[in-house]
Amino acid sequence: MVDSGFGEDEVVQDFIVESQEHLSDIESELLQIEEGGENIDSDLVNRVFRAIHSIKGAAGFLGFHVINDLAHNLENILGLIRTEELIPNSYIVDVMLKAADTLKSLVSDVEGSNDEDISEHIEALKKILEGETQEGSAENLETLVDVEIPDLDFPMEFEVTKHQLEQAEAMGNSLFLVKLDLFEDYQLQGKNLMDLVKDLLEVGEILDSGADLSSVELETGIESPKMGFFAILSTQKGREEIAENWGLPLDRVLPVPSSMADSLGIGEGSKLSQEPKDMAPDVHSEKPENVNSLGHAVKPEETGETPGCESPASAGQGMTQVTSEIAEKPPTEKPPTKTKEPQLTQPKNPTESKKGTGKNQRKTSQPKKTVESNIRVNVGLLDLLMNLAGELVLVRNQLTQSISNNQLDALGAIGGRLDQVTSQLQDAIMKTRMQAIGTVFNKFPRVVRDLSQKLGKKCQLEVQGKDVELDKTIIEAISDPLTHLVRNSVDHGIEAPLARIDKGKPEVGTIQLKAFHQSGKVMIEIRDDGKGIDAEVLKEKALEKGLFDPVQIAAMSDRDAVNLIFHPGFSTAENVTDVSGRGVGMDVVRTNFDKLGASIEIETVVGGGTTIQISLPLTLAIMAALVVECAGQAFSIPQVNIRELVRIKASDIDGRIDSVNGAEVLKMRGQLLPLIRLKDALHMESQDLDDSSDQAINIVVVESGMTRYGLLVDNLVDYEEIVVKPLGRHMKDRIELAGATILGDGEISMILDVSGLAQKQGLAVIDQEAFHGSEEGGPETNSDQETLILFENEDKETFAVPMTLVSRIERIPSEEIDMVGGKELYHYHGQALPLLSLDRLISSNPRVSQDTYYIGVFSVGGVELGLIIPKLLDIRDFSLVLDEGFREKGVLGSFVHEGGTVRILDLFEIAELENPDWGLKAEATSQGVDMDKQILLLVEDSDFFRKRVAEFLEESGYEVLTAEDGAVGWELFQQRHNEISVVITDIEMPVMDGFELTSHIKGNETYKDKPVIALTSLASEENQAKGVAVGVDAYLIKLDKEQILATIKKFCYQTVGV
Amino acid sequence: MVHETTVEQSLQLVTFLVGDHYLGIPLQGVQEINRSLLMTPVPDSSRIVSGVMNLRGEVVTVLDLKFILFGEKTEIGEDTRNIVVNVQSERVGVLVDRIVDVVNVDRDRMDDLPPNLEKSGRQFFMGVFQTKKGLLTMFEIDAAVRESEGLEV
Repeated sequence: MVDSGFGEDEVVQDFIVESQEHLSDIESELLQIEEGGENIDSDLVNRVFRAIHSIKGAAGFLGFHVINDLAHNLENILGLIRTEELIPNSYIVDVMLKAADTLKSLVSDVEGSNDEDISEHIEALKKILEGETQEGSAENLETLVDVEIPDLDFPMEFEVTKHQLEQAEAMGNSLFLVKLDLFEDYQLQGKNLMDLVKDLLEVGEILDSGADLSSVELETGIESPKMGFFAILSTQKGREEIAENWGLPLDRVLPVPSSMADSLGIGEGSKLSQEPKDMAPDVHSEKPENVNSLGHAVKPEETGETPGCESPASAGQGMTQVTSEIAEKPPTEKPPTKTKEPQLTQPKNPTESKKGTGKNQRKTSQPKKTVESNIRVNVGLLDLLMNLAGELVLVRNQLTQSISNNQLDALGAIGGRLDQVTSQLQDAIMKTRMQAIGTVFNKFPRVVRDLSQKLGKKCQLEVQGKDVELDKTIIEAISDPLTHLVRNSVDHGIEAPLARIDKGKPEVGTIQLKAFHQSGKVMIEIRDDGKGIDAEVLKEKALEKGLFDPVQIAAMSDRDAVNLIFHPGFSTAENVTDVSGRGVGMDVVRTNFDKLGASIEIETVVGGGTTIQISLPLTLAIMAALVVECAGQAFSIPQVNIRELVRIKASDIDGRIDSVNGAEVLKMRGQLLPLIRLKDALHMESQDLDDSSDQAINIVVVESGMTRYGLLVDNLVDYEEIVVKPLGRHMKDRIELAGATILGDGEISMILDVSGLAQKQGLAVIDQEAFHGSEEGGPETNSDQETLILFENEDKETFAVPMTLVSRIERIPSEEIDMVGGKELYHYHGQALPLLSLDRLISSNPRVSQDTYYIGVFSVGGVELGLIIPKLLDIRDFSLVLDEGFREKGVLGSFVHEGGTVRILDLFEIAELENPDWGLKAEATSQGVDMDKQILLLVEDSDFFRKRVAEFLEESGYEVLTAEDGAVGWELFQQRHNEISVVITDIEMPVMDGFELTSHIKGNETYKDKPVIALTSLASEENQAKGVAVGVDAYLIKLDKEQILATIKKFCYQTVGV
Repeated sequence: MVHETTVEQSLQLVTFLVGDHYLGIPLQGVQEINRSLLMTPVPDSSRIVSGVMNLRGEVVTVLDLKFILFGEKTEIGEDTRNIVVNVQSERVGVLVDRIVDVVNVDRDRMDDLPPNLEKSGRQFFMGVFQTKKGLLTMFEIDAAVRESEGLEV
């Protein structure tokens, strides 16, 4: 044990934390250094140097001499690299990486560190310092191998060093003996000896050469004296090619026989003497995976069967043993020169293994000093926390004061403030737990590098989104399963280089690792361009293993089949390799992710690659959920799983809910959605007897991974931020319950696990393709359908707003609505949201005051406004036959629905009514155009939108031509393209969509300068990118009048200018 | 010396009635005895689980002890109490029909279980003490809670 420093636990603790921090990045930095090669990035090297240097210093101070020693040697090498005296190559970096690994493990167990044996690393590092920059070079440079050429017609001995052979092998070269006649081939042709050397070097590297002077006949009178010259060349070239070089007959270029290779311990797999050109197709057709380059036989299947390299099953392993054997030899023992049979393939030194177990015993007998887990918090965030804590104290003071003074009327305001401070505090504290996913991603370059080296594959890793933050617990929990997936991609996904070239893919496989935010979740994507997963193979295997019966297999979709890899007891590798095998299957990966509430999806193209997408919650502890009621009990459904809420009126139930062979389904927009009645699924007894038929029903459409279904509940209660509490062990088998939470009133609500519930109810995975198929064929594309938000002001007055115009719907308590100068405002995300109340703006009955209101948020000219929706009825599709009899400012018209009249609102006019400025802005931009009537072509399939857009464009002084789909629009455009200034097109249209129309226009020399504005509700990045790709000039969201007018104006000026 | 041994051997038991069985568990493992029986039923759960309760912000499973030991359901009445015990770092509540007392018993004076004891629940019983109030059976609450997990009901 160490004598000094242990009194000061804190100092040691600090040292550990600091060193770990230093070491955390070192791996990726070393890899960067390797990548840089000769172009040494001095900043980078300096950074690593300083990190190691400070570890060295502190370790020395604290008496951890082993750590100190290792760091010192590592530092020396970095010093050389820094001064560019040493060019880092993959061998040097390898040694450094291994040393850094050991340093890491030493640091995590500082107390035991001084008993660890690090001589191997020290030696390797010292050798590099002494100039040995290649694997095992020093010894190998001296070790000579006899080269015997059997058919040689003269006695000749060649000497080649082992190192040279290894080099040749590593570079995929072949060895040839070339017999030349100096007299005939050179002197007679007027060439000198320099030409000889030049010619030889042109072919390859000269390993050894010699002249056969005995053959020289000095007697005069003989016309062609012979002077034999022999050279052993290491070359990429084939036998014929070499012969051609000198115009020699083939028998004067002899392959060096494999007996020599045998002496090196290279097994059967090696074909050192064979020409690479012949070998490639031959070997390839047999076992394409096994040989990647000359002699480098790597059999992934076999490595697992021969653990510990006990038999020299493959040359690759034989070679690694060469080096390790040599490294173990004490330096005093001189390597034997001219060994014909170096004992390279022996199992590892027995003393080595003894040493190993001894080490382990020591470790177990000494309990590790546990390192407290620390977390770094941004100072700004800490300040914010302090401020919030201060505010909390203030609120408490106010509260106690008003209670003691009996000022009960002030309590409401204090409660509001308390609510605000608490939620801010909660946010800030959650933020302290957030960590960048880079901490996990950073280890993957090394994983990929090491693994691909081991498997003889070539892979590059592209990492994106390192900055994406996740809760600490999640970061910790995803590390192992992610590693497994990445290893899988290298092991099973990416093919061997030869196989890749054969398939016309780049030799180097690419693995992309990407993290990004999507709809409140963090997505992690692992994409490889490897061989993909063959569903048929999986099916066969499942059948073979008896996991399913033939009928089930036959009925399985490809998607289901691919998901078989998650089935327990299923491994895709032919044989479990030591790489991704280890008894850990994909089922464990799945379970690990499931525990985090993450879903995992696989997309694969046979021969094209595999993409695995994992969606993770940001944090585990708190989530948004919808509280619903069922049989008098409250249940929470995580909001991330909720797609939409459907309320079906009693009179519509028969039409919307049907059953297929006893299974209930909900008809929604032409699709059939399986329906689960929560009450039945949980075997709850109904509380009210008169349920069913005469009441409207609520269905929560939920989705998790590939499953989507409707969940029928009694009542929707509220959206709440819930704190997830675990359930006890007695409930651990309840897959349909994700936990519990305590609601505001202290009552406990079970959190439903959407996928577990589906599983319990035996819902099959929905085939997304079939799903989309039905969507396309269904009434969704019917041009007259509009999705409207239906709401009531007073019982008799029903209104509708087009869903596409509303960015979101919020629910707010009425007490939080402030009156400012006769206008209503709602403070929200630190901004005031002006509220519009219909009764003040159009002829309608006064609003009845309620506790809470829904507000539909939309924007006009960049200003967000909220329309008060007193009573939300439904969001659904309507076939619109608009009656304009009700037309007034703010109302577009009306239609008849369920015997009542529904007025459709014009949100932009309503905004204008509330504040003429909002409308004026829009008008100002349109009236500013002073020119001849510009003609616009408007292509839009929805009658409703076509009329609206045409109307306001005409009002703004344009002439509008309309077409109801891309094909009609294209006709019209071709006829009148001279007159048309700007094309405005929808994207989603029957017959010909907007993208196609645009590419028609942009693909034509005459038309390509015509501006095309895409007008759509599809604002996804993907669509935008596609739009840009086909040449859309502007991409606008339906239906921001002001923006549309401004954009049209801009383009009109452009065309006028042209 | 004599005093010390009695301290070591003396055991405090929380005693209660489950049905008409007079039972006891060591006081040490008991965290609290709760009057509040505001439980949320867990739908579709085994009958061993009476529900879950909000114990100062923690969701605690409440078990029906009578069901675990004797296969009968507890009828919640005036005297029903919830004993919260700590089993393998999880707090669990068990329902008993009535709390009787906390008594000191001498560990040495524990009698073996009568061999003719009914099978049900037997695996959890450790021994019997003769007290003024009758025969008190001590049982292992840990085992009862732990093993009831897997009980198929």
